[in-house]
Amino acid sequence: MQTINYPIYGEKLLVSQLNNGLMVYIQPKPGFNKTTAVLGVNYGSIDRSFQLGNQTIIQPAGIAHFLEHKMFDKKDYDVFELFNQTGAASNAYTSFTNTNYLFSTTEAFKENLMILLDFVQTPYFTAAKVEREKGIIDQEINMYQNNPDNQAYFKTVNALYPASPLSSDIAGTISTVNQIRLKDIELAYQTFYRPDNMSLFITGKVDPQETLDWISENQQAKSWGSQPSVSRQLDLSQDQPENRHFVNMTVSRPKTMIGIRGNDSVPTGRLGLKYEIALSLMFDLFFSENADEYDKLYHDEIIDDSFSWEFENERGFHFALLGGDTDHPDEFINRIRTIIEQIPEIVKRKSTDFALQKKEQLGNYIQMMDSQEAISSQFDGFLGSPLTIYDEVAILNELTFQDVVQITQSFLNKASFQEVIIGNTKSRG
Amino acid sequence: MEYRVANGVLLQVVPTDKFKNMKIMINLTSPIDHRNFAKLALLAELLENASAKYRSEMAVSRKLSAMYGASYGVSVLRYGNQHTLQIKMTYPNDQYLPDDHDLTAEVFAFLKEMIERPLVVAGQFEQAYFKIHQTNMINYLESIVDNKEYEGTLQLQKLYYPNDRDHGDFLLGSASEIRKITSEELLRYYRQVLAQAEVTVLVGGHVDSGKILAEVRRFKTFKDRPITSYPLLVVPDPVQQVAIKRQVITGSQSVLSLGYQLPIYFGSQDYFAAMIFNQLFGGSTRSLLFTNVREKASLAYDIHSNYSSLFGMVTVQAGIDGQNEKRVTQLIHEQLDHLAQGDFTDELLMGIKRSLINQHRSESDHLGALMDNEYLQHITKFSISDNDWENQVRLVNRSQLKAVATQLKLRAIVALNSGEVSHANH
Repeated sequence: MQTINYPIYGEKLLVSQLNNGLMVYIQPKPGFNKTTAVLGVNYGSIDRSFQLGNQTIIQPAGIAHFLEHKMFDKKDYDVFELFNQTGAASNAYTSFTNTNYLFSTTEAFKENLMILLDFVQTPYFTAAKVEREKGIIDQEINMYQNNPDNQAYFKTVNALYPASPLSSDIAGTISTVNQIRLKDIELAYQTFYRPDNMSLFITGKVDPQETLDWISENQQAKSWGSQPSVSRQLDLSQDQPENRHFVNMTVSRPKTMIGIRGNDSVPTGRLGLKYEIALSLMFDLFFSENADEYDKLYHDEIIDDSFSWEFENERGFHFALLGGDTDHPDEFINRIRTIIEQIPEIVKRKSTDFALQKKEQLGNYIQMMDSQEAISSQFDGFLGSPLTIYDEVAILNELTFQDVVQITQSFLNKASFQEVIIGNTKSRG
Repeated sequence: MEYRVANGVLLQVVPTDKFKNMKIMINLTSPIDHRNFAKLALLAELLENASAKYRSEMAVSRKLSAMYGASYGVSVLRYGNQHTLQIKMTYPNDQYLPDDHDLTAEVFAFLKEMIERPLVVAGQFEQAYFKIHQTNMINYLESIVDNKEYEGTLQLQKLYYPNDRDHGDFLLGSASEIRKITSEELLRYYRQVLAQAEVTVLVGGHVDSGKILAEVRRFKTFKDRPITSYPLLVVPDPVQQVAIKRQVITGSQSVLSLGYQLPIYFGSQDYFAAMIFNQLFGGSTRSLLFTNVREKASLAYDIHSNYSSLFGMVTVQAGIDGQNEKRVTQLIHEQLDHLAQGDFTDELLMGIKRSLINQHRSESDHLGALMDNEYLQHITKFSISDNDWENQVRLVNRSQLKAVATQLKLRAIVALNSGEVSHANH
């Protein structure tokens, strides 16, 4: 087991790869009562087109999320029951690129850890169970569709990546979910739920060596057959000219979102994280409450407190979204687009603000260090090297103003844009 | 550790070395009165965003960044009959910062500035500043209807408390109430709050109590004030029949909300049984509602219940297909009947108890939760050791749970029905 120390914060990370390929990361938090474990599968909603040996497979949208639901439904019990018997809390979620299963507990950690490993690694699917799940997922999809903020998010990503797996909601649509059959679920499971495509992250009250022994023993008792080579196919080659997309939905005020699709290439591992941190700081320099640009938009009543931005950097793609409620969608778009056009030049004059933003970001990381939820959700076990929030702090400290200027230019010079307005036809401002 | 700073001004210190951050919570409290809801809500906005020294949202935000991303927020809460203005800050411990710092002193100076020196010009909040936050607040209130679950919850509350605006009204007031407030009137109201509201300050983390006490004493406005006593727990007026409201909404999903009276309150004899009852009913992923309405009947994705122990109220909410309203309602009634008949397994009950104990033990890993609990115990005057808490949970038995379920009385139903139905046929 490899140990990485972070002396400034009195923390450490233990890393080990098991024989079957499973990556195990343990970050003890002495003094805490609770332990959190997250079993991540490097498989998400975009992974529905792949080459298996010499066969090309294309699966219905929403399959990864559907599979996540089905993992809990065993022959004559629900996995929630098992966790509940020990008192643990459990959950799961699916993103574009990952599926995560987690629990947290103050009691019976070993027992819960075995439940986690066993339920995700022991499938039980039947056609009847697959059919029954559709009603629940339909209601989940309806809930997302009922939410205008959610619609703004997915319509914008859809416009940025047309005709690609990214253009569908993570849960799919009622019609694609209806197409899912038992054999699709089984194939997706066999292809992606393999130990060398999983990572286990544990933080909180934990004895690392003893825990690693339990995990090894559990894994040694299981066997995985060989399978043809898998290669994922993510075709994001289609782009479209910048456009304003109008979505008719009953809302009290229009919601407007600008999407920026990164077309430059982002390095992986630590350098990728540096890229991410640099761009986040850049967006703060223009679109946080600290920025003159934000302040002007706010006082001109183009944006209000509902405004926010986010930057996503995932396996194979990266994009930024800026959005909020506004009475003036067209002006919102024009003004923000103008600011973005000027960023590569104006960012060069913001070195003082950069220092302030770095201070803020350092404090934000320290706040996360007190939260097992933040520590574990911030961790991505599929970047090639283990990168914790303590590494993020180190990257932040080393980050120079010049880095930010360069990364900003690399991103924006090649980026493409789309805009989405969610509103009533009559409320179009 | 508790210190009386002045009459009606109290400091509570929660010392712990477990965390890398510190938290401060300041509560200004008064007996509930719906006529103040809109005013206190708008006031919270104004106290959060500028002061005499930090004259804009940007100036405040930059000051917070300079204090290593300290977070600062002002909100309003309703603890039973107690109307509360709550000011919260979180900031990193000096030990983890580069160079030498005394962030605690800096943070207290900031709080004094924000609380005691608002952005005032000629006897009122600065006009442009007031105006923009008034407009933002109106816009926010008018947009709540877009969030159907939230809208359902607010309508249920109104229906549950007919002719009782102190408990039925939305705590942030209405758009029309916010519109009517003048800047001058609001400043007058704030001065009254500062002089008369009871103040409780909580500070948690790696603290030096003496130093914190000295800082709190430096607030010029935290002087003696009369302590008013009033009952904290809310008992609703009796009603003759169940109030039902149906409204057609646009959207892809219907939201069904039910409100029950449960005359069992925080800290009372049956409190632990009521808490466990709620977990069995719809408060967990093993509850009867989750298992039977969602997992077995596939009629909902989200269905849950909630128990408010200061209000003696249990609510249920579900996102469903409008055409299934009758069936879902029927199933909800049936789950309650099951509980009233004690029709659930020992194993389920054991698991729920373990979950609650587990959750309770996890709370000590969150400084925020520790301080919230401390404060709740302070205002309810009900304090219990962790051991006793766990024992009380363990002691709850089937017959107590049956008795709890029998006491639930349905008071209100709100159905926000979407015209649409799912297009799929499974």
